[in-house]
Amino acid sequence: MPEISLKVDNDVGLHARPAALFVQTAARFQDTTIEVRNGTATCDAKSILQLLTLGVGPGTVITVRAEGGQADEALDALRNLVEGGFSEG
Amino acid sequence: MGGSAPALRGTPASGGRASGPVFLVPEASSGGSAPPAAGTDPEAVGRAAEAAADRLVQLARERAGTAQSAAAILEAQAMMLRDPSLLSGIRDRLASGSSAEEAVVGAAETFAQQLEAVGDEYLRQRAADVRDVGRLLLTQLRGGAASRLEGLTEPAVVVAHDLAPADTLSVDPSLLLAVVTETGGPTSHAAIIARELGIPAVVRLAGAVEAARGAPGASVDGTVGEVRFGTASEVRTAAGGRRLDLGALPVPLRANAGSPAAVQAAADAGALGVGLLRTEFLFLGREEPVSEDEQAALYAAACSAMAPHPVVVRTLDVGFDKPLPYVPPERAEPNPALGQRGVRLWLAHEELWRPQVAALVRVGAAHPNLEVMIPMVATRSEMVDVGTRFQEAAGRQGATPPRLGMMVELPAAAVALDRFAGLAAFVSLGTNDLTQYALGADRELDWGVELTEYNPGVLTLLAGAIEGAHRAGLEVGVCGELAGQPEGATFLVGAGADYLSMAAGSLGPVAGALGRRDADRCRTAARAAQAARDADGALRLLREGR
Repeated sequence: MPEISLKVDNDVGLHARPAALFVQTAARFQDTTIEVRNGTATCDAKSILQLLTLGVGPGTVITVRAEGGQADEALDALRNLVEGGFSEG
Repeated sequence: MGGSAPALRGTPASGGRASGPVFLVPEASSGGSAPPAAGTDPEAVGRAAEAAADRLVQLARERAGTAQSAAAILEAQAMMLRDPSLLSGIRDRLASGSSAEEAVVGAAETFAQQLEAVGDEYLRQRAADVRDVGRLLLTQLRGGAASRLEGLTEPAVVVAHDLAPADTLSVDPSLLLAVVTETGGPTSHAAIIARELGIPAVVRLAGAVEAARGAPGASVDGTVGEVRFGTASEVRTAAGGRRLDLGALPVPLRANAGSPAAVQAAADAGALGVGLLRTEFLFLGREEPVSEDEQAALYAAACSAMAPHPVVVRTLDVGFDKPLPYVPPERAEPNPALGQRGVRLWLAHEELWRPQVAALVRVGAAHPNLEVMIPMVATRSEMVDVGTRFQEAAGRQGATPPRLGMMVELPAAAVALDRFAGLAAFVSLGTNDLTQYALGADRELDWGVELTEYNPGVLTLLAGAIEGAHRAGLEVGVCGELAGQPEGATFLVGAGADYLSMAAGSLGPVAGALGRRDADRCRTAARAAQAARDADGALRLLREGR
């Protein structure tokens, strides 16, 4: 199961607009299960409610794991989003 | 009878005053009479959530232009409705025998409490969102997708225990004279949306629903957070609509008006002046010219209603689409848009300009807030001519002529405003005609966004006109439709306009947009919009306000 580490290097962390963009990006990969880990806590990357309570502040390093048909594509898309500073399309 | 009721105090959430009849929002039906229809079918939960989310996204799209934060809130709630963990939480509860209501409310509440437990203000608002989402989903499951404000058909002070953004945004904002809720805080969604729409609001007012029950009317002061519920007779006299608090904005907002009654309404609404008083209403639909006395009486009434704020009276602007029966065109005009209209026609007809100039000079002598604006000026000589006529009339009356300005609607004038220094004290950008002439596209034909004011070339023309006018020492107002759009107002303030004038109904939304952006942010956005590749890009930059 592929896994990447990402540093959330923005002003607000995975909150507000960045959180929404993260979930929207993850939700594009329907047959893929994507999990976000912050420390010992993990959550479903497609759940905005879980992601918000995961408490990913600015500067946090998260681990993202994916499993399923488009696992690599999903991780690439999330990496581009986070490393691109959450700029919109 | 018995004097007016004591004021109740809540938390001020959106400035301004309003009074009118009370509309008490029905509580989201909680069980009781109607048994849940297909509520316990797990499949139905998914379908209902999808339908409710679709409705929010649709509402968000409709409001994206005028109420951006509100649209973002709706989109966030739609995302929660589609959240797989919320839906599985509901399904798990249904599988273990909960009723639809218990399942939905229970699942939403669990997430709400988790969000609140983090102890961050932003997440506390998200907790309120999850609870809203639970209520929306429950309503949808019961087959009642309708808004709780469905019964609101006349403008009223809306009172509720709590109000979801989807409720507030489901009705025409002009029906919401003011909003009063028992819950919420200054940063809650109800408050954010009220500020964005320019609607006075008081939140966290304990006992508001009880006090509103049986009270036919209320007056609300959203600046200090006071609400007074009154008797029927008090309401009838106080049914004055809503008054905006426009004091803290980067530039004064004025209203456009077409009659003295509209000037009064603009004054009541809190406008800081009239930036365009059209005088065509006096002339159209009549068989003969209007006398000096009749004109003077109406101008004086308008100036009194708005004092001490300025009233800019535009001299008669007819021809083209507004022909006068007693002033036939002097020659056949194959293209009346480019024919004898505005100042060209007015100067050519003594029976039109002479009584109007005399009336304006007379009223100006008694009302220092009167200003005069000349439409469709193309050349310096036209303004020289106009100035001479005002000087002569003033000389005859032993008065000083009123402050004189020109409307900028022609590109050639817009790029050469320094030539008018000394002839005009101010200019007002008539962005509708200026855009049509700059793009060669009739706005009535709806060509799409690229042939509108947001075309970067037109934005550059407007910014250059403002800068050129300022260099020549002229005050710059804007009275075209662009000033009444939140994105347009952001641009114009950023480009340096000294005041904006708009339809009275736009004052609230524009005040809401400008209240969130200081002059610096507007400047940055205005510069970026001029440099955008196309109108679509410019609009996006102005919406984001960066």
